[in-house]
Amino acid sequence: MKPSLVVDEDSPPALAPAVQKLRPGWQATSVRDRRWLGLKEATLLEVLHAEGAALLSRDRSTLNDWLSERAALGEEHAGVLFWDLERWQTAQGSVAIGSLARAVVRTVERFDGDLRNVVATVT
Amino acid sequence: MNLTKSKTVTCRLTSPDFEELSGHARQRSASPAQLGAALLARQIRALSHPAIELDLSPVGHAVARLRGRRVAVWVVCQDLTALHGDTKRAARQLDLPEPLVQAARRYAAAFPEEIEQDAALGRRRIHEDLLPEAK
Repeated sequence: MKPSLVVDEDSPPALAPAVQKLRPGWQATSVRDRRWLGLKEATLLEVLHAEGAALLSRDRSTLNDWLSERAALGEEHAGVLFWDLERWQTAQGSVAIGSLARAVVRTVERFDGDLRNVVATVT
Repeated sequence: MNLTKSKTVTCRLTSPDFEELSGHARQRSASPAQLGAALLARQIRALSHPAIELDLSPVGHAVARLRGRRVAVWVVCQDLTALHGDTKRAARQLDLPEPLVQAARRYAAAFPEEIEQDAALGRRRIHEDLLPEAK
């Protein structure tokens, strides 16, 4: 299965090309690339599910509630991978894009590329 | 909302508006005055911070986000802290216009406890293996 990932708007868009460079056979884009900026979470999860693309995000505050809501309604989702700034931060305070991209690849491969209904943290 | 230091405001509503307010209040097991005060407080906040909106989850968690962008104020603040308050770098990192970063900072300064709660919610460890649909 060819993984498809979408970088959320709370994450650096540069993460998408960094993942794509590591795995040219995958599809890695961003919410900005897709012109999905500002979509509410329920809508975004629905669109991602329709496209079979997992979300890379860092804000668990309400996204998790919407995932639980989908599960309660018997609806699947295309997967969400969370990452934490504290873990993927350079000494200068910016996001360590390269390291994070490599960790995203490792995490996706841990699930054999199939992220359907997966909620996991990038480690 | 902190009601310990509240003030009373008297205002007049048209009968249809009052009926509508009363109906919504009943649905929420609140009085028209309680709901009216909450709505007024929210609207005042929107006037003071037009770039920020409260986003509600299905279980009622409210998180402050940049209006029109699904980026939480706490996320902007986390980047600002990491980048030693450099709004330009934070804006570049999040691909946001710098005025939105500044708006998030102003909102966080006005409601620090609320943003701390949002951050705690946003950074919570999810019991991923316990989610019903998790593999």
